[in-house]
Amino acid sequence: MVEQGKLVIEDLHMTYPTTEGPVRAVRGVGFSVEPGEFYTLLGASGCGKTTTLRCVAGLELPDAGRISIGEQVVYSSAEQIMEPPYRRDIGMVFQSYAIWPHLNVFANVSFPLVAGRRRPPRRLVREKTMRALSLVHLEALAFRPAPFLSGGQQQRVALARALVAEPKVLLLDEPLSNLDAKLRAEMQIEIKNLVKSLGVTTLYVTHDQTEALTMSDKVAVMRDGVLVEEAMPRAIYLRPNSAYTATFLGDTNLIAGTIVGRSASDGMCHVDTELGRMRCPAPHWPQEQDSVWVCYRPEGVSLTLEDPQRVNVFQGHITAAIFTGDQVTYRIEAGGRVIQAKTDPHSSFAHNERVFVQLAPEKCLLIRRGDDTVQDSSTDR
Amino acid sequence: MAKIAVSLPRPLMWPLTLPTLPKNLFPVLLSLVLLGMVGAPLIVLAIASLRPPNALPFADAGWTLSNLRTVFLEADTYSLLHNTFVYAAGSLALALPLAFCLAWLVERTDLPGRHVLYTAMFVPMVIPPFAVAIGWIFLLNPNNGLLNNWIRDVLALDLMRGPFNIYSVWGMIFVTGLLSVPSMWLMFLPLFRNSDPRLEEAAATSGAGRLQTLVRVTVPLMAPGVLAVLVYFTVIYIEIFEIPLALGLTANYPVLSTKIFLLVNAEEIGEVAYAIAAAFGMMFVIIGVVLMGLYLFAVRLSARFAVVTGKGYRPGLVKLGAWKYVALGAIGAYFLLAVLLPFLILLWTSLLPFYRTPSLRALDLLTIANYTKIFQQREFLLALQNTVIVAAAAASVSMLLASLISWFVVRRPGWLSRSLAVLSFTPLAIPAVVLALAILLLYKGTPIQATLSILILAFATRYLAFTTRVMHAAQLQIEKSLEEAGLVAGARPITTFALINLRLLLPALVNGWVWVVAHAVRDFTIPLFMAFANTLMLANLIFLYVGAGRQGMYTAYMVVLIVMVVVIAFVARLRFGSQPGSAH
Repeated sequence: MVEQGKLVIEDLHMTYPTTEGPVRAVRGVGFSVEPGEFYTLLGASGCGKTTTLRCVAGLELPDAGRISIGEQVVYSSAEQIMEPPYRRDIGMVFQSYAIWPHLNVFANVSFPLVAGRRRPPRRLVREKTMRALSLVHLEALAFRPAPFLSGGQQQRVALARALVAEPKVLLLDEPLSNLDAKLRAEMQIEIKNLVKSLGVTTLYVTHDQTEALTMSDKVAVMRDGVLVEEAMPRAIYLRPNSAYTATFLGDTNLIAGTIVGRSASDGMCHVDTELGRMRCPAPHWPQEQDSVWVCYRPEGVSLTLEDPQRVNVFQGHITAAIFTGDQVTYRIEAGGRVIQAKTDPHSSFAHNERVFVQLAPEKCLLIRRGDDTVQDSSTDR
Repeated sequence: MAKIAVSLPRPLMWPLTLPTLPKNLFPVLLSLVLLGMVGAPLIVLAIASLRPPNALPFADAGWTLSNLRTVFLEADTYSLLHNTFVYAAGSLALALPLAFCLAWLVERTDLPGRHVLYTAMFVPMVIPPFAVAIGWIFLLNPNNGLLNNWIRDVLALDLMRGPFNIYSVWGMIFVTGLLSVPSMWLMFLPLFRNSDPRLEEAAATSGAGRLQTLVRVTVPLMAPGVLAVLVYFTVIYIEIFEIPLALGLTANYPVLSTKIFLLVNAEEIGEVAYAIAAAFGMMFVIIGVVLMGLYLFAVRLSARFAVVTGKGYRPGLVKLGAWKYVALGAIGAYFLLAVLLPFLILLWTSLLPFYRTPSLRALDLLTIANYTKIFQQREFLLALQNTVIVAAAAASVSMLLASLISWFVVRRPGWLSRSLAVLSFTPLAIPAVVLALAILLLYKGTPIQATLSILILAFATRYLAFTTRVMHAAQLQIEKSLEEAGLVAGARPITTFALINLRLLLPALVNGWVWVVAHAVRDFTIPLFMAFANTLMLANLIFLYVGAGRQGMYTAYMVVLIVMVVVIAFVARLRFGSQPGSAH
């Protein structure tokens, strides 16, 4: 339906001035988005994700690198090419929506067809605009003046406007961050289905990991201007490559340990940790004496009152129980440190109750332990 | 705790491809134009002040510091300055509370008829202050002022003169303060319109009452904007000329502007003291520069509070209840004093050969003879034509420059933009009388010296500070992403500028244009200095008749001028203007 384009970014660098001196916002970022793929840049504020997106849009002038959209090279420092935004085949949804207050909905959405590069005849403009509006279910409001729209409606108008000219690449800059939680959840699914049905290549920027995991084909975690890790949602959540990613995406238990042996028969290795001896599946890299993190998601922790007589079981007592609606989060002190567990809301362990904590070996993940700092060390006390 | 580095505003891109027109070509051109308009007169002024008292600046007459010594070291000067500042402070004290409350009433309450008010306020704004002052002379002169007579009769006072005397600094303050309310109000409107009422709602939901919110949230948020307006008007009051001309001379209350006028308009040509006038001008400019620095500081502060966003803009209104009668009554009183009374007395006088106290008997003597005489005069038609051309051209030039300058200053921050901004505000530091003088001297001997061009130039330069300020404030309120969205949607920079930026600026543009036209048409300062023979404007004709004491004629002319100006403003607003409070 929409002409598909591959987005390729190579070795992008960008610095901008601040009151504290120049800040290197993007440092050698490179990735590619396949035609029709939904690719998310995920990271904390200031990690360079929005700057990268704006470079793709042509709203910022990078220092070096190369960006191409489909066949067109839109930026190349080597070849001295810098196409302005109005010559790139893109659509963009801004965080503030940027709906023009002096135009009504129809005029806002049809603007790219009326004032942009490619201007079809009037009849076709009306057709395409109404079609874009129907994609976001706003046909009924076509002639409402823009200032009289709610936040959610403005966001849909922005989306329709970005798609009406059938761009090769759709750029979204944290479009859901100003919506309330319920609407946000709805819009996540709606946007995803919409762009998938159109088959448009999408680059999405957010700091919200739920959004990233829900909507994306691929998630790339950025930190301090560098792309740390890139993988599909399941992989990046369950099998992150770094402690930073592990703690940035959701809660995790990070247990420091040292490899003390491998078991050739079942591909497991033994890890000496503060909790005790653990068995974990061994990828090829750990050697003996290597320092590792054992990474374990709280959802995978199982708590019992009696000793289950299995491996990786430790005794502890509950120090906190927090009911959050769809889960109960427990803090358990075991082996001199805190383990976090999340169970279904029906469980009811009491404060100070003695429990057995099982960390099933197949759910353990080993990560190299170097000197990288963790995102949130609240579980590491 | 990590320090947060604040990101400096990044310029909106105007790239085509990397190797292209130097990005700075446009702003550099603009700067050159401004330098020509603003810098050249200043230089002429400096040169003129160093010449012997009666010499022209470019004459081969040698240099001297005597003028500067006279101006800066004599006690007379300082009493003059004292007069000027007292007059300015008084006018400010009168106008500011009135204008602020009025702006609040219009923008934030459900005052009935506030849409009408929006149009009605143009009337006191466009009425020539000179005419209003003359009108008040008829009303409150100590001998036979109409109101003085009535008060004496009604209160049975046993006085020969008074009780009120319009020929005094109080009279000057009264008229000046009243008449500056509309312009000041116009500058306060954007402060209210664009400050997010949700900030005040946040205060209300935090438990603050109406007064608390006003004092702790509304006022501090607006303080920089108010400060800017305050400084702007201080400069205006210091240089104002017409009212001190009409009232101050007789009141023996000279101010800087009238002093310079007297120096330049001496009876004998040979005694015209250009050099000393220029020296006074230099002092004036120094004062102006200091105030201007303060003004720029205030504007920078107020920029931090700019708010218009692309989403969720919805103002809420305060319900006045019974207070609306009080408000309406006060507004009615204002119009009575500022417009109705002076206008009616002028109208009355214009229908008689010379002034008579209004009475039933005098009604029999009314005649429109003065008017028929005016419309048959050739010089009237010529003056009318000149006035219209000069006003419209000056407004267009000034607004165009202001839009371009403001766009650069806001979207392309940097040293070049800063110097553009400074240059555009400089005319504010040059009083009209001095600017007129300087431009006159600069172009003496050139082909354009006796044409409408120098008048257009003078007016465009004079109002540049105002127009730039208006456009700057308006441009600041337009979020950068609104323009970026246009670029990303495929519209080239010019198209984006026209369809989005300019369209959103349109209310400010129209208001500004009408303001300049109205001020140019009603101005008595620049025409009295710079217009001669066939470039005479309506103001000149009026002044001549006032000098000759022809009451019937000059009041008739004033009425014609007033009606003309009011019609212009009204028609322009109806056709191009916007309703208050809407986004269109």
